[in-house]
Amino acid sequence: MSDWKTVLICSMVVLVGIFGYMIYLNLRLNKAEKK
Amino acid sequence: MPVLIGTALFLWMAGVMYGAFVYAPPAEGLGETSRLIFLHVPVAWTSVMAFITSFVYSILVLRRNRHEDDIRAEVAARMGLWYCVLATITGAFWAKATWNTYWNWDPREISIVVLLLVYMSYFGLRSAVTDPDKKIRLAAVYAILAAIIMPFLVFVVPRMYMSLHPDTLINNSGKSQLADVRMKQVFFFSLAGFTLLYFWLFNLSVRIERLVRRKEGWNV
Repeated sequence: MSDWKTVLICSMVVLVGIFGYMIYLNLRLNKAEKK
Repeated sequence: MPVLIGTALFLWMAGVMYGAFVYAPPAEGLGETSRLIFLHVPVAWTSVMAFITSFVYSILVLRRNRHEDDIRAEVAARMGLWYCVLATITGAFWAKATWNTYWNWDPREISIVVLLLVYMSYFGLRSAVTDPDKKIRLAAVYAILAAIIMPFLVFVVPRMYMSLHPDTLINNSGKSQLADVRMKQVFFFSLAGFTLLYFWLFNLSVRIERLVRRKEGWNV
């Protein structure tokens, strides 16, 4: 794996991770509102 | 105002990305993978900060017995665990590039696995207790113990044994491996950006968790 590919993959992991956490919060809120 | 803060934070993080990919030069010896310092280290730092936040609010739970403090302690522990997972994944990819293997049970990797297990158990404990008052007090005691162990796993154990993992800022020689001034600038800019992002996400998470608990019938 090239160095740049590693850097890009890790950046994606961090970005997707942070956005994923925000999506989780949104889902949790929606679930609570339905109750 | 929240929109302004969100926009400012977005621009800040875009600046971090520009700095990491374009502005900072690659470090000697590590090549282009050295750019991961601007992501991997701030993510790990945020994780430690979240665990410390959880520790502080867990002490407040025991002192004041307030559910509001428990919300903050739980949210911080959850964020800390999540950031710790991100740091582990980015670390594994970095290890593949520099050590030619994703995982080789280096002391740093072992200590991070133990830390992940410790905080996963925190959520296991929370879900095992149904009585809210008992739950928040038990969870608080566990989070305090976990946070006392955390600095040993993050800072002490990897330095006690022979490890391939570099010590970027705090090392035995007392010298930073961020030799170039532009690398230092981007690193601290990134550290500040991730710290601000953590506080923004923490605040958002606490507000959502409060609403969720109200719907679940908790007195918050």
